[in-house]
Amino acid sequence: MDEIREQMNCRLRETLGDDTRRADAEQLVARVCDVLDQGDTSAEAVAETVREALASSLEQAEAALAQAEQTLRGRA
Amino acid sequence: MSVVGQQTWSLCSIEIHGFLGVGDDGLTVQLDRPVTILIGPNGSGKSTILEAVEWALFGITAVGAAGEELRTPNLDAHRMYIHRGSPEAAVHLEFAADGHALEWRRTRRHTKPRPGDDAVVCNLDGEPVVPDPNELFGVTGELFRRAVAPGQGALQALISGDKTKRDAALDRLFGVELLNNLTLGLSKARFDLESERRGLRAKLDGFRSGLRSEITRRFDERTAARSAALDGEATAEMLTPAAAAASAEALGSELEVAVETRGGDLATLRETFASLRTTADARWSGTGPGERETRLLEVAQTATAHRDRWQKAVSDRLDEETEFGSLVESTGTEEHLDMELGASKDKLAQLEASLNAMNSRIAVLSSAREWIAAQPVSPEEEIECPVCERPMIESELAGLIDVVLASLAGADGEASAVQERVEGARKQIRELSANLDAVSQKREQVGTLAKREQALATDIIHRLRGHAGQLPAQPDVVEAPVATLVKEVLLLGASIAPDGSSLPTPALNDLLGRLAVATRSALQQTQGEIAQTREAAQAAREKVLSLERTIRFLEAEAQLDELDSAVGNVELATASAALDAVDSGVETLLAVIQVADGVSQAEAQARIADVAPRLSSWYERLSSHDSLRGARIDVTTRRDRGGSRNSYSICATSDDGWETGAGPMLSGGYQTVLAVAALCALSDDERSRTSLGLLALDEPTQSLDPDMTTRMGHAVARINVPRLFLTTTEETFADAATEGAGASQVRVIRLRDWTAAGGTRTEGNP
Repeated sequence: MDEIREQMNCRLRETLGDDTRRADAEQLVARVCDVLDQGDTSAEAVAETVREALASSLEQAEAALAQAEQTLRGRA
Repeated sequence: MSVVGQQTWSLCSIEIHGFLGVGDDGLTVQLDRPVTILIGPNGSGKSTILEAVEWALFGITAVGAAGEELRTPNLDAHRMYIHRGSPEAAVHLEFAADGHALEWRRTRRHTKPRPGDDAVVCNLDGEPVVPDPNELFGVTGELFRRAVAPGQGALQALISGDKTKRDAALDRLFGVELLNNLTLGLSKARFDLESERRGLRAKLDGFRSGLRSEITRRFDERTAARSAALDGEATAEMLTPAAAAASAEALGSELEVAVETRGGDLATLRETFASLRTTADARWSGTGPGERETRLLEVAQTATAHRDRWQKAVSDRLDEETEFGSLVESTGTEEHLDMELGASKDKLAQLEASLNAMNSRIAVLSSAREWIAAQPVSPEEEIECPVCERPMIESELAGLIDVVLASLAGADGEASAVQERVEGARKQIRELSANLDAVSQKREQVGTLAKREQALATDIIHRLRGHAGQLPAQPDVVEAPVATLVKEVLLLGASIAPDGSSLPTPALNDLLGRLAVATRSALQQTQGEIAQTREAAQAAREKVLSLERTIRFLEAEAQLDELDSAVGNVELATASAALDAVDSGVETLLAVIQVADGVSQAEAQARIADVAPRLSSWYERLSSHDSLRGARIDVTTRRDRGGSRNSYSICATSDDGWETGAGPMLSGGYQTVLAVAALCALSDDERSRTSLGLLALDEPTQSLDPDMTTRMGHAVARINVPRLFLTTTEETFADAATEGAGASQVRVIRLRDWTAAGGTRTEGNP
């Protein structure tokens, strides 16, 4: 697993260079590899890990939209 | 411990108790030679012994052809390893390496069947060490299943007609299954995230679009409200809250209403407008002159229309009276006519009596004449007169009677004259009767008209009495003359006798005429006043309506401003920023997916590069085909469910370039040969990375004929591994392997048929 992690990070460095996304990508790779290291190697486990990693932004968007809907209804 | 990870460990002994088909009596397999062959019929427990090694080391075994680990919290699923009726399952392994001994024991109790609760003991040269296969042998469960003991499932998958199954088995055998799951999982996450992101983005866009649409509508409303405001008295400069407040204050002053504007606050202006409108409407509908006008209109109606009807009745009555006078003058009064009629009737009676008597005489004389003529006497004879009974000469008597009859009934006789006088009297009586009737009728008509005149006069007075009740006690200067005249009429009316005989027609007519004139004058003055009032009210009303239009415009503008600010509201900005973050996350994910795809493909290619020469070599050793002597393995990448999938091709090849893989062109036996060659090639490559000197091939002779079986036995027995563990149902294979490796190098262990009572047993065991 460490080998895979290293290969992916190496390729991320090659692909993204100094792009600000690289840190996020490496963090995502680390989270996914950690899950795989723990023994759950299914695609579902990987997908769920990624989903959790981006959950906060989605939840923030959902919450903001719900609040906006409520505000706009109040104005209508 | 210095030996760990540096030695190649050989499995020397397997001791099994209460595991799967092995009962509590147990089974021990000594692997004291390089090659161990387990031979036995189907179901005798050959694979169980291999599974015991895997279970002992890892606590679980591959499940089914897929070769996946059993991962479940279900206790019964973990309890299935314990032999039915046994309290526990235990497997004891012994390894040796360059004078070192390593013991490994796993025990699972029926009461605690989870792998984590197993008792695992590992002693190296008598000293306990951490029981970690990866640490001790460099082997994980996954590596064990693909490089050390691939199992029948792997072999069956490789010869399956299902390409997907073959690819999945090769992914697993190449060790890139993990990478595949990684890319698939990343792609699935991307799909889910993008779906969710699209939904949220659509929602955000919907809000913005809805707001834009609402703004357009409100803008149109504002434009319409502005046009409406400018159509009134307002100018563009007046369409401000401050100007509207000034207008409201000016209007309030004009209408004498206190107003509050609070510098143009819209809510306050709206309340002020409502108050001003109420006041203006009240002025418009009006009291004061309006009520007086109503009263005067009612009096005027009585003094003109009703008076006209009364005057018509008076005129009719006077005309009738004139006609009556003329009639009386020409015919005489009813009394006179009545007297004349009586006298005429008496005279007629006398004449009729005289005429009757005369007619009687004529009748008698006529009868006497007829009798004389009938008598049988000569004219000179004397006969007795039938009337006077005196004797007379018949001719003289007849002549006398003829003379008398001529004077009475002749053309100029007396009777004819009397008859004429009777007719004259009758005519006179008829004329007098007609005259009398005409005079009587006319008199009655005059009386009827007089009563009607009286009734109308009484009605007028009654109406005026009603009007007088509506008049104010202190009428103003306009209404005072009318009130006075009404009182005078009522005073005059009080003197009229109930039968109307005292009706003062001229006086009443005069008063009513003056009342009509006075009422008309008062009405003109009142209507003039009303027109002035209404004009002022109309002006005020227009100003109120203008103010309302201005307020509407200001409200529309305020709503528009509010919506404008809503477009940029904090929540939408936050949502937009959060979605941008999600977008960024998805982009990052895409980059990771591309990298994972690349690593997966590179890994597969690298493994292929390592394995390909070995595969061809192994196939050459195993195959007896006269043409297909070599083998080739390739991998390409295909897209599947949003991720990359490796697509493998394993083919047997000929020297002239012909090649064929699994399918009708390659027999089942050669497919098995190709699959075993692949397993051996893969194992060769992987085993070098571990320190466990073991290779187990579980029944590699499926679908092989005796010659192929023999060739397979010869070939696999030469695999260079410290411990080769083979299972088979074929004696031919065992013999060939023994021959291939040399009898001293091979231990053949035969298993009996499995029974429920005895479980798995070797022939040496009872």
